[in-house]
Amino acid sequence: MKANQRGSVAPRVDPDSAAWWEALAAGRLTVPACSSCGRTWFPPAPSCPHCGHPSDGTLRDTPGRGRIYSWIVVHRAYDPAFKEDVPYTIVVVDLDDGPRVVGRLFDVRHDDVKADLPVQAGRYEVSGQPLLGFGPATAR
Amino acid sequence: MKRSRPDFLGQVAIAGVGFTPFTRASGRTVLDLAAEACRSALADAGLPASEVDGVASFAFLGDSVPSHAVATALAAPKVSWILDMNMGGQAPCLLAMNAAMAIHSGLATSVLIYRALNGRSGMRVGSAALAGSSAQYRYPIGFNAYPLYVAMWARRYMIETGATEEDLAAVVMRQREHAAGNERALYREPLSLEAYLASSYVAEPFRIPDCAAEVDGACALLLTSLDRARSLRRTPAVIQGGAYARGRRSGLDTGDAMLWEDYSRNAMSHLADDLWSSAQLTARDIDIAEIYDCFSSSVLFALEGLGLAGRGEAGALTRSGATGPGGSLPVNTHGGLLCEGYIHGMNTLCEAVLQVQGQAGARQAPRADRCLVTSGALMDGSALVLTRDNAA
Repeated sequence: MKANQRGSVAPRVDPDSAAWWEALAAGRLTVPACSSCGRTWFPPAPSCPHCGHPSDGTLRDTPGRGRIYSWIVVHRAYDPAFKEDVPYTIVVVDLDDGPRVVGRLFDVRHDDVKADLPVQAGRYEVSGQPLLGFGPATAR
Repeated sequence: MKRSRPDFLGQVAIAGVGFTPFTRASGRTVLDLAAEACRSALADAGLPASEVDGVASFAFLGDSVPSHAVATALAAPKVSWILDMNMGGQAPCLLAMNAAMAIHSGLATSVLIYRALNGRSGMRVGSAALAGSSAQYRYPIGFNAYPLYVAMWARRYMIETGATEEDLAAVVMRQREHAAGNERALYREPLSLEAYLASSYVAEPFRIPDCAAEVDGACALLLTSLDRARSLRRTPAVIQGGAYARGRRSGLDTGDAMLWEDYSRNAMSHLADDLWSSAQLTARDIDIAEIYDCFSSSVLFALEGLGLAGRGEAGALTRSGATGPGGSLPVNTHGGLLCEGYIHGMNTLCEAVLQVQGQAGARQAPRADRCLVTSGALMDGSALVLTRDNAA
């Protein structure tokens, strides 16, 4: 993903999330999956929010296709790190095969952003830190 | 399981309210502000501090002072009930419910509840780093402030209902009309649609006027049994109904709505049934509403979630003028947090009490016997119905 973004702040990784970040660094978007009810969720948490079963750490790979559920265009930098990036777009995306996730949107014109727009997850990097982004989904 | 009506409802009243001035830079400690607001509430109720045996408050990310410090500052004698809640704007109505329960149970007889903060010159919630385990997924991508989270809900609400930026503007415009009569309000001048649309975006769909006015200040309320309140100075504002709800899969922290199913409905939709049945009233019985408005959109969410407007109709209701001064359902008669200032909704509760008591001065609604008050804009929140004692 070509993302000309300069700003970021380092994520504070914890024991519940370490494997998810490692997978993203390896180029894989994953979501936690429940070993009891089979459902997926995001963000990683110590137990399944659908059935309450303790997580065994299973992460399921997802192709990362989804549709925009909601979006905002940020005009004010709430952290100096993002001063060069504004305005930028954040999208909440319902993955076709899994839960709702959030990321930066790239390569879609402001006026073209709309609900249900098909998007494809990708990885972008700022100062070596891999982060979750989305771009327009190409035809299947 | 079906619940019966909570037994403290209809038995406890708010007997006094107090404020400090709301400013951009108080130059004072939070404890000083809290103590002044509490003394003012006691004076309003006509009770000496020596009668106070309960104190409670809420704070967000440590932005306030503990209740025992305030009891010390007031030179209150022994305190038999205390509560410091670690919450934000979803707290005020829930805090009042907790205090009412303490009074009704006999743990305390006279309880002060307060909210005090240097919310502008100190830590500003609107731009603060809200810690929490889900922050690691948001901050690195620049999804990193409270206004952005609420804006994301507002956008989905607009998608679902067809609401427009003109509907958000109408909320701000009506509240500016109310604020004209409130000497405490920061923003009292009228706002035209043109001026609204010309103001800068913070995060689309929100512009600067859609965001609460962060201020330094404090406010406080004195609660006691209805019987006792009847012997005090003010007409009692009776806590007639109350409810709190956190909807399912509310996430890991304030900024985490990844698991929340419907961004176009907030906690108000989830507590509506409990609230109206607890009050033994319906939305149609309400004279005025004081709705938590950290951002303009939350007024529309609450009007619809609580049944004061049909789904997708809150914008039209607001544009019609019905929620403005002299309208059929005045909403946020103090100008709301958008105009009066952001004391995290505790001032919303204070305004409800002033209206129900008939003490709101120039901005007093002609009829305010039954008032709805809400707290919170996202996954959890609380609400009260206050009634004027012995109202016809």
